[in-house]
Amino acid sequence: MKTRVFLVDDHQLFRKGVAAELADAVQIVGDAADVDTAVAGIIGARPQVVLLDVHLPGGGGASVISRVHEREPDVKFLALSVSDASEDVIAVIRAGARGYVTKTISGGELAAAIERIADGDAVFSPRLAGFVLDAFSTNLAIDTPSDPELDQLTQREKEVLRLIARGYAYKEIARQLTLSVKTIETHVSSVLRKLQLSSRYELTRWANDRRL
Amino acid sequence: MPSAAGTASNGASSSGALDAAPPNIGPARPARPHLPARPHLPLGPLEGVERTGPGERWLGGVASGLAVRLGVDASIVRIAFVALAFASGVGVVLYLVAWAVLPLHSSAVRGAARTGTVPVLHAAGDPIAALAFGAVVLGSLLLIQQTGLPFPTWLITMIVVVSIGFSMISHEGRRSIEHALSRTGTSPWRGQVVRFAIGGLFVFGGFAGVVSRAGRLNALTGLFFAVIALVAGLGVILLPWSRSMLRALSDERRARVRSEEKADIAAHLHDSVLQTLAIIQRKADDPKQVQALARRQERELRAWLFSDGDQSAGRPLSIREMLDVVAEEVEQSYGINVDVVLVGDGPLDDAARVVLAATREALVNAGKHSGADKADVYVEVDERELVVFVRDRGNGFDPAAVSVDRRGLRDSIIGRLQRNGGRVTITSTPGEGTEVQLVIARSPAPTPAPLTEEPAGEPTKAQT
Repeated sequence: MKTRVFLVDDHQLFRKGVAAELADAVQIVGDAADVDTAVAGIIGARPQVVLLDVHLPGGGGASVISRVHEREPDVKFLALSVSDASEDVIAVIRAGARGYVTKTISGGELAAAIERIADGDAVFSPRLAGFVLDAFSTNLAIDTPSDPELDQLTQREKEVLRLIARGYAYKEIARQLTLSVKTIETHVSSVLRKLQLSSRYELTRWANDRRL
Repeated sequence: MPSAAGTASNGASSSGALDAAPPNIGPARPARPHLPARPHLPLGPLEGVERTGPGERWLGGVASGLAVRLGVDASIVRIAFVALAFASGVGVVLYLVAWAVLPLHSSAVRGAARTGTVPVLHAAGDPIAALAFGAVVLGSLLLIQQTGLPFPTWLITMIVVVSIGFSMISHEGRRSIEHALSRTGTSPWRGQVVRFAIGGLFVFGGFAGVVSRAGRLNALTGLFFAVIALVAGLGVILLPWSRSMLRALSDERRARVRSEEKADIAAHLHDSVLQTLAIIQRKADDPKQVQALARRQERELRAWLFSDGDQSAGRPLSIREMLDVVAEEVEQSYGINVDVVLVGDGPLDDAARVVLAATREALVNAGKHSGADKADVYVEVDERELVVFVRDRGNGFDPAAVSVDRRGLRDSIIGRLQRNGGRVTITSTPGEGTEVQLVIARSPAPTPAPLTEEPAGEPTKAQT
C-alpha cells in the first residue's frame, strides 16, 4: 500500500515535476496552489503526508498546517522549499510540520523522507539542522522564565544535528557515533519537539529582529 | 570574465583593422562619384561633352552624349560609329577612347550613387579594373598593328565580346547585374555565379577567338600573342574576382568576430543575469534576499563590463555573503551543486578569508575529482573558532597516497591553513566520499573594529 501524498505548491511546473518523480513510490491524491484550496483539498482527500511549500499565496504554509490540524490532527506535513530564511522555515516547523527539505533534494531522497514522515519520524535536511543549531546556539540574556529542559539541546543532540548539517545520512551518523539508527531518530524527534515547544526560538527571533 | 573581456577587445581591434582596409564596396559613399578624378583632358571640340546616364544610352552613353552636344539624333551618331567600326575598326577604337575620356553626365553620377546602380561599362570607378580594361584594349590595338593586316571584323567582335565579358566580371558591372537579378528575386549568390559564368565565357570566348586566328598567321608571333592573350584573359577574369573574394572574406571575418562577441555576451548574460533572474523569481517573496541578489548581480555585471575598473569596491562584507559567492562560483564553474549550511556569522576578517579560500579549493576538488553531483558545506562560526566541513559522496581517495602534483590539496588547502595557524583534517574512503575539515581560530573580539562596513552596534554581539 503506497503512501497517500498531497502536494501544495504555487508553482504548477514544480507540482508536475514532483508528481512525476514520485509516481512510482507514492500515490498522489491531490494538489493545490494556495492556502484555501489546499485546506479544503487535504480535508477531502485525507492524505497521510502533505508536501507543503513554505511560501504560499494566502497566508503561507504555516496557516495550512494549523487549519488542517484543527480538523485532521493526524495528517503529517513535510515542508519543502528553496533556500528560505530560517524564520519562515522554523515557523512552519513550529506550526506542526515534521520536517523540512530543500527543493534540490533528489526524487529518491524525497520518497524516503516521505516514508519516514509517514512512519512518524522527523526529517531534518542539512539546512534545517543548521537553522536549529543557529536558533539554539545564540547566547541570550535569559531574563524571561523558561523551561531549561526545552530551551537547551543536549550534547548528543547537537552532535547529531551537526552531522546532519554536514550532509551525513542517519545511517552514517549512527556508525560515526556508534549508535543505532533508531537512537538517532529519537534524538531528531526530541530536537523537533523542543523546537516546537520551546519559547527559546521566540527569544532568538526577538533578538534577531532587534539586531537588524 | 577577463578572458571574455579580452575576446571582446580583440574583436574590436581586429574589426577596426578591417575597417581600415580599403572598403571599396560601398555604393552609397558620397565621395565615390568624384573618386575617379579623371584628369581634365584638353578635349578640344569635345569639351563639355558628357556621356549620358542610364535610360538614354545603349552602351556607354558616348553616342547619345555626342548627339546631345551636336544637336542631332542619337541614332545618327550610332550609325556613324558602326560604319566607322567596319572601316578597319576605327569606330570601335574611337568609341572606346571617347568612353574612357568623356566624363559621365553629373546627374547620372548622382543618380547612380543614389540608386546604387553604375553604368555597365563604366569601369573607371575601379582603378585596377580600368587599368586592366585599358590593357586589353591597348593589347588588341597593338595586335592589329603588329599583324599589319586590315582590321578584320572578327577582331572587332572579339574585342566587344571581351569588353562585355570583362564588364560583367568587374566590380562595377557585377553590381548592376546583381541589382537586376535581385529585382527578379534571384539570390545574390546565384547572381554572382551566373554573372561569373557568363562573363568568363565572354572573355575566354573573345581571347580564344583571337588566339585561334592569330595562330594561323605566323607560327612565332601567333604563339607569342596567344600566350599574351591567354595571360591577359586570365588576369582580366581573376583580378576582379580575387579582389571581391578578398573583400567577401574580410566581410565574413568581421561578421564572425561580431557573432563570436555576441555569443560571448550571451553566454555571460545567461550564466549571470538570467540565472540570477531565475533565482529572484523563485525568491520573490523574500525582499531582502532579492535585494541582495540584485545587488550582487549588478556588481558582477559592472565588474564584467568595466573589467579594468576598481573591483574592490564590490567586495562582500560578511562570511555568509562571501560563502554564497564562493558556492555560486564553484557551482557555475564546476557543475556541482553546493549546499551551504551556516551557523552563526561574522565579518569577513583575515582568518575567514583564508578559510573560505581553502573552502573554495576543497569544493573545486570535489567538483573536479569526486564525480559527485553535490557537495555539502557546513560552516560554524562562533567567537573562538571558524569551522568548515566540505563533504562529497564521490569516489573518495587515499589521502596518504595523494600524488605530489595535487597542489590544490597540498598548497591551497593544507599549506594555506597551516601558514595561518589553522588545521586541516581530511577523511576520505575510496568509494564513499571525502570530507575536508578546516578549523581556524578567530581573532579575539574586534572591539573597536576597523570594520567600517558593518552597521554600528553589530560588533558588540551579546555575550554573557
